[in-house]
Amino acid sequence: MTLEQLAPPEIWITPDRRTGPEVRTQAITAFGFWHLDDPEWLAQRERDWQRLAKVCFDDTPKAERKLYQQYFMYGEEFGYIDPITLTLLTPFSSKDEFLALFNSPLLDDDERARVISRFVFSCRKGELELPWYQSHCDIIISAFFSGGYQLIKSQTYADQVKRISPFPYDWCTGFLYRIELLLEGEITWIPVLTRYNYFLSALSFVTEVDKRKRVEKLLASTLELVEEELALGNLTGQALKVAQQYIARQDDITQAWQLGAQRAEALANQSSSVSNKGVN
Amino acid sequence: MTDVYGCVVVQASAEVVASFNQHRDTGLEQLVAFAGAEQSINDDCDVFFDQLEIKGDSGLFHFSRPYWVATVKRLAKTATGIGLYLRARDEYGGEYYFAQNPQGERVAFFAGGPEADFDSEEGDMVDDSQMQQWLAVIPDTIQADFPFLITFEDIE
Repeated sequence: MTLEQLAPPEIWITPDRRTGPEVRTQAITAFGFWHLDDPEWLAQRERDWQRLAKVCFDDTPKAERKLYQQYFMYGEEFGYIDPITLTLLTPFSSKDEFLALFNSPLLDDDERARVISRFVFSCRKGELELPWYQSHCDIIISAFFSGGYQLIKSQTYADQVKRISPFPYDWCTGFLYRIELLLEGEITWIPVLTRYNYFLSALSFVTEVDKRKRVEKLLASTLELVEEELALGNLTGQALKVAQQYIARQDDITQAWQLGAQRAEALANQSSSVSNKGVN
Repeated sequence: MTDVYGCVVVQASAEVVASFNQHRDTGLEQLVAFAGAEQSINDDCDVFFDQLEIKGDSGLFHFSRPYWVATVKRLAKTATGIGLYLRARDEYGGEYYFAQNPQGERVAFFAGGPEADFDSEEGDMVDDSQMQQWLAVIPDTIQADFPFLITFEDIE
């Protein structure tokens, strides 16, 4: 890891900003995700719906469930479906297909941010009963969160910018907090924890003094918890893998942390040099 | 959707009432079949409930979502041989009362609550005669078994 740049790189998305029901219908048709002329695909989709309805929508009124079923099975949108449910119900099967949905008029920028937050940082217990759920999340996370940290932004109007993804500090605290939840058995799998290198990269961009203090504390308390839980020997699955990785990659964490310190110092020097120029 | 809470007593058979404990939709299916009501109720109506208290052939459902009111109205149109006794209150103070006994006698009324009539301090409230009409349709055994339906307050 090198200093290279002080601020995190940015990636700008250019979504289709058209609105209206016709535009939405056209977008869904253009996706081509629903293979309605394939009886096997439809039969599998029906089986998936039965499972999904039981796991996720048992507490949903029938009228709403019908709306969801219609979209899930046939891509027909007869009423408002919230962005999280819409993403859950859309049968994308690759990163490009997900990006087609993500940048489509079916979502606005606030909803894009919500989709990322929901599918990257949380996972409800029941959802893991869906055989396709983890791959759905993997596709979403791989669309933006591979390689090094980058801040996703969208230019809504000439002078308005919407941030779609979390800042480095939020990413890091979110990551560490979810390690805690996983080790304490509150959750059994969480997409964000599959992105260790991305976390390390985000860590090297935490540069504000007060935020560094908070992350430093969290890094230490997470290490303590990981060591305790590993010593107890009860961890399994993703919890065990994440705990072992946390220990194995302590050097990488230290390195990323030091890089963050260098960036913080360089930024402070830059800012004092600017203010000195201002005084002169 | 307006917040609605209340309770409903369904009088049918012990089996039908017990089937709501398997799943609310199973219970509704059994009730529709038992009462010979229109089948499409199963596709359209919801019967979410928080708590169910069973006594003999009847059950008192406590609910905190609005769906039972519409379901009872739909059932009452085509069901026979069952009792449906409901009272519900909405977030604006409106109150809805419904009673239909197995003999087919029915009474239903809505009072908008204190906010319904701005000219009167008391508003459009449920009066005693309406309550008496409602109670007259509810069998004494139901009133005795499920006092909450009448008092709308928890009995110690």
